[in-house]
Amino acid sequence: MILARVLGNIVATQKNRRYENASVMLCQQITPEGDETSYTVLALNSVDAGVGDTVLIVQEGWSASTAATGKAGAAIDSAIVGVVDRIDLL
Amino acid sequence: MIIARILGTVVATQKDERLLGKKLLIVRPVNVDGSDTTGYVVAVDTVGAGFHEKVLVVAGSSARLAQGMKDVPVDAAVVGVIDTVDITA
Amino acid sequence: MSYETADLKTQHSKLETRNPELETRNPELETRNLLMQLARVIGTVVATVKNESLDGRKLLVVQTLNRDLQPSGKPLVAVDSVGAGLGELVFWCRGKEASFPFKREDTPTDCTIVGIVDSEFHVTQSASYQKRIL
Repeated sequence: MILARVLGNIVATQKNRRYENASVMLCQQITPEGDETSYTVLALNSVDAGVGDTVLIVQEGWSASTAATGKAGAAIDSAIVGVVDRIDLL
Repeated sequence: MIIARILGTVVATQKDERLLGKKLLIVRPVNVDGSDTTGYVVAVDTVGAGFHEKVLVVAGSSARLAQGMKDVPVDAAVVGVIDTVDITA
Repeated sequence: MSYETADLKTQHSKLETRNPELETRNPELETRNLLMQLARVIGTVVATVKNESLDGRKLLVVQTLNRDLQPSGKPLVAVDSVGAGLGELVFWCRGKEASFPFKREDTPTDCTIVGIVDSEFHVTQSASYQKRIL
């Protein structure tokens, strides 16, 4: 999983039907120290994360599909699976 | 798999219910000589690793084959604690 | 029509303008690189505390090689499924398929050694053959 910050929503009325009822968020990966990297990814929101939240994104097909839609087999490769409260670095 | 060292932990109360009770560790891959690389990954701990140990991390869909991860949405898991690495070449 | 294949190569290299910034995500993990690769076994890893399904499995450090048998990329830890030893030329398999040589549902591995190459000659000879005919 990677840590990322939610930048905003993506609105797409025409999309694969398995994406219906799912919101697609634009996220930017952050380092554990909180600095932004140049990697951005679209991820399906499965935990009601809001814009500006620090989130945990899983990037594996089965995991992302079941997290976002409840079923495997959807064309989804990234999903938000958690909202991060705190990062403790040693 | 890669060898990594533990940087810290992630606390997330609002998350997918299948991740409840799972320890989330931030790990940084290390080279075979022990030096750090850049980059990190958040991995679920399946062996109870201590914070100053080097660990073995499996990534991708194989992470769901780790102990206790059968139906859990993960893409990286800590599956071992490294005792020694011997490089001969 | 005749052409120099060396010219084709320079044209193609101009097309490969992949944005290096886009590849900052966990390059060490290379989880998207789902190919079988040649490698040299360069070391061993001992881990007593690990998942039960990895008990008794040999963990080897492998350095991936390119077609000229030069190191390419970083060393990885691979599970052995064929009895490979130190210094041998092997090939490994990535991804979910890496768990297939073992009990599939149980063994968490994303890098498994699935074969030992009989000799380097088999690799380098075909490479030099291609250079001759082109």
